[in-house]
Amino acid sequence: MMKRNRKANGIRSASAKLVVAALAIAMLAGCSGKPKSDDSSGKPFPKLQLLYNISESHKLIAETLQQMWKKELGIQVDLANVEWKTYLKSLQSLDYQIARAGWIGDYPDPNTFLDMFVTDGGNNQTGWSNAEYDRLIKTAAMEGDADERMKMFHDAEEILMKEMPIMPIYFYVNKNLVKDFVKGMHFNMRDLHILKYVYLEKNGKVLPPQEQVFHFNLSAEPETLDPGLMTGSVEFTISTQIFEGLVQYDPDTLEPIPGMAESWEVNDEHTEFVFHLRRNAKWTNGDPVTAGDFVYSWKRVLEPETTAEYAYQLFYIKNAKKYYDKEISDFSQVGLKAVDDFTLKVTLDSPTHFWLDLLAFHTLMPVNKKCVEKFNDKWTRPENIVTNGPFKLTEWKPKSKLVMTKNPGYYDAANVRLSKLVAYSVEDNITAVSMFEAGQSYWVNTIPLPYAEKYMNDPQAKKTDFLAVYYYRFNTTKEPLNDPRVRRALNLAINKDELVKFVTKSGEKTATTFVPHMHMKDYEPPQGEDYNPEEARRLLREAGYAVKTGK
Amino acid sequence: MLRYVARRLLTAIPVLWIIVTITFFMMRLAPGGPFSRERVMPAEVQKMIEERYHLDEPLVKQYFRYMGNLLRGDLGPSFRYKDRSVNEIIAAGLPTTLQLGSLALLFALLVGIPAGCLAAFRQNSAVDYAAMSFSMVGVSVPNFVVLSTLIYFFAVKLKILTVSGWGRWDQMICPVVALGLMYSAYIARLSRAGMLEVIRQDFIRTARAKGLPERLVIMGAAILTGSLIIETISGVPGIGREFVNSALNRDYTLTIGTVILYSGFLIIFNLAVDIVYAFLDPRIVYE
Repeated sequence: MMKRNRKANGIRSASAKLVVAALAIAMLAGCSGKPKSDDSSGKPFPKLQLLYNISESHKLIAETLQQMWKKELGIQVDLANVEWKTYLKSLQSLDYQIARAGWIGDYPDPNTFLDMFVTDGGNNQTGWSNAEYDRLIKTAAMEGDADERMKMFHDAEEILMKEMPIMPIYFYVNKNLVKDFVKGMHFNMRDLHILKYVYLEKNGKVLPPQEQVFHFNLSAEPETLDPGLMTGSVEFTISTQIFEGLVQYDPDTLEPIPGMAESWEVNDEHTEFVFHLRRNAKWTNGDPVTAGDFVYSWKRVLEPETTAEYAYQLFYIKNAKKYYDKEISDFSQVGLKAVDDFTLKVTLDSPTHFWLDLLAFHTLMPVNKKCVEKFNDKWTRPENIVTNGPFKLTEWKPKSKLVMTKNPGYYDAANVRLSKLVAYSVEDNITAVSMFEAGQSYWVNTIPLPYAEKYMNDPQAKKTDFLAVYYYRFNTTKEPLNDPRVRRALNLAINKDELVKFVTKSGEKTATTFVPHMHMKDYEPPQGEDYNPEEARRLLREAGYAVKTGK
Repeated sequence: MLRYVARRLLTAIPVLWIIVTITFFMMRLAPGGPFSRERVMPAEVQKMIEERYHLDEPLVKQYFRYMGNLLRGDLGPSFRYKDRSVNEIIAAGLPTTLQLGSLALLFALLVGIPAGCLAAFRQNSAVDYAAMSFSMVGVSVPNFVVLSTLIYFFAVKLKILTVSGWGRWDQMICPVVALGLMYSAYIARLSRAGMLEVIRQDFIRTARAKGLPERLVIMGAAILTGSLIIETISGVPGIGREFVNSALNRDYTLTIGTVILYSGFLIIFNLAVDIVYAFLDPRIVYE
């Protein structure tokens, strides 16, 4: 309770300052003879409803926005919170007016953020449609020249910000808690942790192998350990330790570096890739990892019967989508060929700049044919599973913990120092922090809001910019939000600096544009609009509404 | 008596059938489905997956498919935990939940009965007031507050117990005490009342008339089935938390599985109450 009050006071005192500033502006405006802000000509602005899924932090943010809109524009907003699946359903059926949202990029490229808002895109969910925007996104996807491509994304995002079917609020920050004796943890924009680089060191000495046991919390029970079927980050965290794709991520930059493939060649058009597999890579059953294993695994993902939700990540491969849709039944027509045991040739439909990035994703990780075919849906059990990564699964107690031990057959085992990983699937994030504080786990991947202040300046708290954006959606199909001026006015009335300073409190960067551009060195974002309540009121009046700010 | 029990068990079948049917259709009425996610799948992928799980079939057909499997004892695959069947999830979680529940019940009895008796023997003394105030607190403080406090002091600060997990005594104390405390308070009040009746020579009849055994048995049922919140906070891998989580996840099959389990529990405990009555009260005769 104490903490909640303090937060609210923070906002209130900030609001007080704002009121003073606004009053000063209003007085100045009065002197110069300009119309006052509480101009009552025009129709009254209807009441709005803001939808969010149940969560303490979404609630605090929504309440702050509610206050800001009331104060700056005199707009009444009701808050509606619903459970997750109902929230998703409301978004998809455009049964909302304003809704909170978040988006995590699949790879550091504007495409994974901007292609959401093409007309009728499944993730658009705003009803917004713009022909020029669609054209730019579509042409960018086919464009071979990297600079031209980035220019197109820039222009597209400019349209998005001008029309504002969505209102960016801030770019997420990853908040990890790590004990000081844990070394070799890397913090990157995907919050992806490759634990083969980690080791434990106490008093300046690396602990002996039997003490290299790393306890951490996963935050949920994995839905599956089948990399082809996975969809979430909890599952990806496990698959990253026990499987390895053709490439793997550099732990800092996330650039693709050699994994199962030792080297590769790409043609100039970025449509043909030849991968040379390393000859010393083995499955935990002793068999070598071959090009045929990748053909088998990817074909498996492309069989609709496998029910891989992320099968579309392979649709960049020539004819893969047709095979999935059963338009063709002959797999040899798909652009995927094992030239020999250690050479894999992949032909894509069109130039795909982020194709290499996708290769380290769980959907494209190899699975062992013998194991899958022998044990069917029970192949991921510890007693059956065959993997090819730095660690192997030795124990899986559902809803309790997963234990992984170092895989001595891994080609780079000499450089893996942890001998054991113990991953707890504790869902309650307060309990997770308690476990960390009690020394039962050495790493927690989130700092819940009640602990934000406690760990504000703690050296154990590691904060890094995340490839993700927190934003609000507008339903552009219904009055009054079908008018871009109204949407822009709502955006201009939000003081995002105050929001991150007093509400989210983890050093988030405010977002005036949608794409987390700081992770994309070749991408120049368009100019976004900063907090400007005067302009917000002007736009609202221009749209024909009376602005009553109560001042 | 045996005939009565058999008849009661037989009538349980249509009751369970109605419960399953209502749950089946109510789950489908809830917005969203097991595969609705923030990241929307391409339409063709969505279609294929729905086909695979027969979600594209008419609801009535899905219902008969489900009931057919159920009659063979197959609760189906979990929609969320793709590597496991509902039967497996229940088989893995139920023993833990029962263990947590019976230990909490044991704790409640061991603390509640002596406290209640002591209070009755020393009626209106300091001991009585202390025990009864304590039980008042026990009844009114929510168990997750008790649990968080226990964890904070004994696991985080003093480090003599473990924050989460299940199996070792140092992991089990916090959830068992937190779950059992409220019931121990109830039991203390009930035993005090009961003991006072005995002391006043009014025979136990009055206590029985007040519904003592019934309340005790129902309490047993409630406590045995564990607690969503205790299991979640303490990371106890039981089935209690699936009762709510599976519904939130729209894991249709797992929801029905847990509903069957809990309804079964209630039916059996209600039957137990009636049997207990027959033994205790000679006027009650079951044909």
